[in-house]
Amino acid sequence: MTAPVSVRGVSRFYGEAAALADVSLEIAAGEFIVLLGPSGCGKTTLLSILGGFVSPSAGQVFIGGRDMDGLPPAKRPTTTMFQDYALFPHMSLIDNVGFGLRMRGQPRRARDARAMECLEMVGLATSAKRRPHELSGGQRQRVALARALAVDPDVLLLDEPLGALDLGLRRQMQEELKAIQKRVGTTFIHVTHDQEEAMAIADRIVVMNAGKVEDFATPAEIYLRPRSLFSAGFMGECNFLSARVEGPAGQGALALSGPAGPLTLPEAAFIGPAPAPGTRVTLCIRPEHLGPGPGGIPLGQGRIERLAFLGAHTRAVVSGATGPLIVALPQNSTAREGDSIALRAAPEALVALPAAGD
Amino acid sequence: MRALLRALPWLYLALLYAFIFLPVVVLVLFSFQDGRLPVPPFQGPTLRWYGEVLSDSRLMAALGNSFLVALGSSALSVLLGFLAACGLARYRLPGSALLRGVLIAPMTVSYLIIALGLLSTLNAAGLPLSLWSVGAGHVVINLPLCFAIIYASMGGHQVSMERAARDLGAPEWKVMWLVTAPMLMPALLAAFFLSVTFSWDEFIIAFLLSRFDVTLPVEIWSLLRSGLSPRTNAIGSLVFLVSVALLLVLEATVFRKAGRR
Repeated sequence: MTAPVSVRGVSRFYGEAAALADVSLEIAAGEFIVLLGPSGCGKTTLLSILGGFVSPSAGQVFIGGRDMDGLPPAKRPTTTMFQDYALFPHMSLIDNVGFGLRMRGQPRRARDARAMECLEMVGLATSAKRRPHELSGGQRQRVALARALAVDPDVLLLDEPLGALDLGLRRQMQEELKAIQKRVGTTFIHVTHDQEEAMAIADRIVVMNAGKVEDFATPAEIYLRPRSLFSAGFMGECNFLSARVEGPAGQGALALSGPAGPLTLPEAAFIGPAPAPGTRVTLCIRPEHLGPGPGGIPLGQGRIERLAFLGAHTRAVVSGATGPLIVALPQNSTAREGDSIALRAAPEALVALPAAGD
Repeated sequence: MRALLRALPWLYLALLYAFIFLPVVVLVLFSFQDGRLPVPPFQGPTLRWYGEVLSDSRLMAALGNSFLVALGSSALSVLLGFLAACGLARYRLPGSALLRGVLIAPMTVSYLIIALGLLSTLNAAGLPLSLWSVGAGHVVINLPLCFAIIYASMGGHQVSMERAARDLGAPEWKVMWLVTAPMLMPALLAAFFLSVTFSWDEFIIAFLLSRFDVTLPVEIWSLLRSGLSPRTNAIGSLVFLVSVALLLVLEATVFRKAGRR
C-alpha cells in the first residue's frame, strides 16, 4: 500500500529552542523522499513526528488524507526502520519479521508465509530460523527492512539506516533500497546526512538546515538550480562569488559588477524574480562549470595552487583576484601546479542567489 | 622461602573455605551417624535417619509448604519488581528517586521488625495467620531485591527494541511481555532464584506469621527443641542440598548466558 503525506506548518520546540520551525511538505504517494541535512537540522525530529514518536508543538500531519494528531505509532499506517535496526535479539528472523503481523492478530501460518515472502525479497529466506546476533550488519539491516515492510505500511520511515555500513555495502544497499521501493510502491521517507546517498536514491530531496526546509526538489534541480546558499553548498562543492546588480542589459539579461569586472547574466540565472538594481547577489558556480574556456563569462586569471586527481576529473584549487576557487579540470588535463589559467564560467549553469544576510 | 610465599595464598584460601564450610561438612557427616547423638566419634555410615525423615509426614508437609511459599512469593516478587522497574526506568515520574528509595528501603529493615510489623497489622485487620501471611512477608523482603536486580539491568539498549515493537503495533502490555521481559530474562531468573533461596531458609517471618501449616525451617526448629538428633542433621543436609541445586541451576542458566553475551 501507499499513501501521500502532507506536513502542514509543523513546528517542534524543546524549551525555547526550535528543532523544527514551520515546516510544510507535500509528498505524493509512492515517492522516495530523502530528508537531507547536517546533524541537528531537525530531519530526525521530523521523521519522529511522522512516525508518532514525537508530537509536534504546532501544525498537522496528514497521511492518506487522515489527520494523524494524537495517534500513537501503533495506530499509524507507518513503520520505521531504525538506525540501530532494533531487531528483537530473542527471536528468530522469521519471528522478527512476523512480529507486526502477530500484533495484528494473524495466525502463525499466515504470518510465517508473509514473513518468508519478505525475507525472500531481501535475500535472507535461507536464514529464517537464525537469530539476529548470527548475522552481519548488512544482513541485520535487510531483516529490519523486511520487518518494517511485512505489515505493508503506507509509508516507510528510514532513520539513517545505512549509517553504520561501510562504503561498498552502503552503495549496494542503496541500490537494493531503491529497487525494493520501486517494487512495493510504498512511500519511503529516508533520513541521511550523506549528500551522495541522497542523490543516489531520492526521487525528491528535502534539504534541511536549522529546523527549516531550505530546498525541496529533484536531485538534479537542487544541484543545478539550488534555491538557497545552504542548499548549494550542502549538495556538493560550490564556488561562491559576490556581485552587485547594476541594471537591465536588454534581451532579458541583467548587467552586474562582479569580482573580476562587469558581466551580463540572463534573467533565468536568478532564482525568483529578477532583483532590483543595487541588490547584492551571490553567484554559485559548480567546479565543473568553471574552466579555461573557450567561451563563457570571464572571471580573470588564476594560479593553480594544488592539484588532486580524483578519477572522473582533476580537482584544482586556483587562487585568483576573487580568492581561492575550486575548478574541476578534465581527466586528460596537462595543467601543473603553479600554472596560470584563465577562468571562465559557463553562463547557462550559473546561478545567482540573494547574498547572505539579505 | 619463595615456595612458602607461593603456598601462603593457597593456605589462606584453604583456611577461609574450611572456616565457611566446616560446619556444613560436620552437619552432613553426622547425618550418616549410626547412633542416637550427632557427636564424635563418627560411627556408621547409615541412611537410617534419611529414611525416617522422608517417611515423616509432618516434615514432608512442611517441605511442601516451603516450596509453595518460596515459589509463589518469588514469582510475585519478580512480577511486582519487574513492573516497578519498567515504570521507573521508562517513564519520567515525579519523585522517582524517592519512589526508588522507598521500594528498596525494606532491605535495610531487619526481618524481625518486618515480621512484628506484619503480625500487628494482621492482628489489627483481623486476618488469620497462614501460609498466605508467610508468603506476604517473603514478598516484603524479596521485592526490594528483585526490583534492584531488574532495575539495574534495564539499560537504554532495550529502549529502541521496545520502540520498534510499539511501531509495529504492539500494545504496552505486549511490549513488556514479548520484548522487554524476554530480553531481561537473565535478570528475571537471577532475581527469581535468589528470592527462592532466601524464602527457602527464612525463619523469623515464617515462625511469627504461621500457625498450623508451617514451613520447613519452623518445623526443624520445633524438632531441635527436643534435643540434638542425627535426624535434624539429615533434614539440614536435605535443605542444604536443595539450596546447592538451586545455585547450580542459577549458575548454569543465568550466569553462563550473561557471561556469553
